[in-house]
Amino acid sequence: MQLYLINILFFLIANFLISITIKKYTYEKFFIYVVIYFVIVNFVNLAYLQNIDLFTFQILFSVFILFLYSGLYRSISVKIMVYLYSKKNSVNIDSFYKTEFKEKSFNKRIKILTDNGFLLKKGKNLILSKRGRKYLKIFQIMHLIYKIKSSG
Amino acid sequence: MIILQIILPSALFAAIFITFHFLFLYLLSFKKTTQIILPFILANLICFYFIKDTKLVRLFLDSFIINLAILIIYMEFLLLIKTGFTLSIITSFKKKDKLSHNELIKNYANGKGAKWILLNRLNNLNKLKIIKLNKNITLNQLGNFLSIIIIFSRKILSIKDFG
Repeated sequence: MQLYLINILFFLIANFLISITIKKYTYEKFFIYVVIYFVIVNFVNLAYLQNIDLFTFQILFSVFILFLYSGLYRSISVKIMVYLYSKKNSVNIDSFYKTEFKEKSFNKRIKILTDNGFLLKKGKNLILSKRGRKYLKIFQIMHLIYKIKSSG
Repeated sequence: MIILQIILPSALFAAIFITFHFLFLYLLSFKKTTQIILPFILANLICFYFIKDTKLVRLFLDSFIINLAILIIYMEFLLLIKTGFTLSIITSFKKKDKLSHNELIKNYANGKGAKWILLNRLNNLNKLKIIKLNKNITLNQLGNFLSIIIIFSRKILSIKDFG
């Protein structure tokens, strides 16, 4: 039990130290950190401790923490709740949509897609790049396989 | 070697679980959660049945933990392709190759529009009694409590910004 607690504590301390060292700590960087941490801990574990329970725990913990981080970092619902909590008063839907959602979420995602080469700017219009079109095809196949009519 | 003995039943589980999920998806009309949970239970039972008389049975608990991780990954994958925000921006280009910024806002999620996603999430939060929703949005007591937990969790994981 102590081993698991030490493992979690060490993970969080190392994560904190990395987050203050690295300038912009994004989900991608956190993902790399989790993978490296997983490999190092299991290398030490399998070489010296040979604790199989720790290995399986590490798998579940890594998966859980990745998705928890993803939810807390990207979820729109979480963003709404944190915003409302910080405001303390009620917020008008329309003004929230214009100032917070459209500007800080929707436009930000478009910028991320443009920066990562999925979207291209052509004058005032946006078009899918070759990479974007490839992904669109993959998503369409996935939607077809899983009988998803519309996403969002 | 022991790792392989754990991974083997989990690989078998993954194959059975996904096969059952597709069978349920195409042949039976259960609720979406049932379509995933039932195959998960069945696949675990089948795996246990096959290995119960072998040496692998003592490692079944370890295998089950990996199966849980597989379940989380699979559910997240399904959630991503169903409700992914960024992914839906890409799928908005299904019908039109070229979209202006305003057209993209209007065409988002099969023409439902960008505001729809906000209202959809707000309605979900309202159903869960996390917020009060009319023209304004207000956090309920449960919402306040959950917000504190979320903010605390974000602090623990050193999350400073939103993605």
